[in-house]
Amino acid sequence: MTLPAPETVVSDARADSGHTERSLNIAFSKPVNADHVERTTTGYTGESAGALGRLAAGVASGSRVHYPEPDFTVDGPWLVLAPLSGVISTVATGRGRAVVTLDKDATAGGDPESLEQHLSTLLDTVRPTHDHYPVEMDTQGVFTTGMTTFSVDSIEIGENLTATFEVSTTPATNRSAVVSRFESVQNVKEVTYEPIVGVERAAPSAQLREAVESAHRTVYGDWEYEWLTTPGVFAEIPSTEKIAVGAGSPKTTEFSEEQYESTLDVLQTVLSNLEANT
Amino acid sequence: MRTIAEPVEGTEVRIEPADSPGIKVNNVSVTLESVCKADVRVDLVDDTVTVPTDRTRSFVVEHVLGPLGLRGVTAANVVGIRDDWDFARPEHRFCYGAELPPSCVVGHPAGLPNPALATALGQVEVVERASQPRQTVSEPVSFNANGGDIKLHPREDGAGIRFEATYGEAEITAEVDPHGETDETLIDSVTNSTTPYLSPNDEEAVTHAIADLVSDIAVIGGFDDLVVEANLAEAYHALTIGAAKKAHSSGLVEQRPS
Repeated sequence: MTLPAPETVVSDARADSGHTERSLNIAFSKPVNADHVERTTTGYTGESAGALGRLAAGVASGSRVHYPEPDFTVDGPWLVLAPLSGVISTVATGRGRAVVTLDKDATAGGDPESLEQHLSTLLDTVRPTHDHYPVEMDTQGVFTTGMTTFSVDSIEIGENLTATFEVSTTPATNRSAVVSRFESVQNVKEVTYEPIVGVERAAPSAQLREAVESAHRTVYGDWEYEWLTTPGVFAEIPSTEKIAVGAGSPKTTEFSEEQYESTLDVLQTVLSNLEANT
Repeated sequence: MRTIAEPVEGTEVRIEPADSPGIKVNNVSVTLESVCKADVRVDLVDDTVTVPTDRTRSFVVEHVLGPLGLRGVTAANVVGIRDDWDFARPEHRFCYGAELPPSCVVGHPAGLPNPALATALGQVEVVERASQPRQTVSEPVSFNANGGDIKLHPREDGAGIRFEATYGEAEITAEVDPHGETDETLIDSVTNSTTPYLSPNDEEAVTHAIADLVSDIAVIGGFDDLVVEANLAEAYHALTIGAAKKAHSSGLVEQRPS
């Protein structure tokens, strides 16, 4: 068993932040609650299994782990360990908020059936569509990761009917496209759109990019890029010398020993690639 | 070698005539060695440089190589011409993240083996400049991957390739000559069939698969005379490219002098 015990991972990670002599910084997409993780014969299991597995691999890699809070004032390149299933990311989608106000009186004076119908029309309006791809059943985000998508944040019925949507944005998203989406809906009084976090696109040096691509090729046989679907800590890092590295899958409660070892292998290969080029 | 008399355009690509045998995609020679990804799609990188990097990567090349093989074109330069983004496409997101232009993606946006290109290639004059040796296997080659299996059988010189493929509940038999003429109806039906991931049924998926088989076995693998029996499953480019690689690495490629 090479996996460290869950309870030691967090304390080791806190201690790691003091290693100022280390040149490669690692941040994490999620906080860890080690109390919710169990170490089994095949890996970690539990609510924070992935987050703990990534943290454990980061600590073992010999890099400078930033946990729990990253110190953005330090020098050097950054890697963010995220549940991206072994792919590389330099782009995180943005976030915005769209507020749509419907005239309640015009909807048959607030008649529940009419309101329901209007809400249904509104939800149909924000459903993703594409000329070629079955985006309406794209539960894995194969296509919708790169599309402007809307999810209902709240619906309020007062003087008017107000629907607030959280909007996932791409480099192609703009205010007029978001607003015009609702133009065809009857009785819309007002649509406002407010960008909250812009799309974050890193601009890593060729040295860092090639070190990461090459490490993925060595460990996984190929390298692939995909976007992060939440801005998170990746967007918070002010330096453009940053890349997110995929370790573990999203929405699972397992992080296998094999995933730990391949993540560690990638991190150590990145380090040696960077050292070889300095 | 067979090249085209003048440049033609299809969806996302321009095809230019070549003076020497072989096909290049965005300046990278199409060989088994240049394949860096073969599963749900085929990508190429320049394997002749010390460290292959994304700077030379081309995506979804089977959508271009299929029509070229179906039209019997063996020498050409493929140039990606797309200059705007469709971020719904995973390959475009890859390129944006890797700081590559959208022209690196030469696959068709609707998952088709480029019917516009097949039509354009059918209308342009194909020039035969010098005959090239044809290749088969010296003995049967079997390969399994991702739940599918494939067998390459030797075939007589000049016979072309007969594909006998299944996908799900559907099956198809197709005769293709990568150095010659192929039935127009077959080309039309194959190039207007969507990729299995987007196909409405197995019949359309297996019809599309003929273009992928032509791309991977004939154009990238370099075979001209074979009988190919393939039971295709998910991510079947691992199977088709894998079989071609196995034939080459096992020393079972038989070249017939022209």
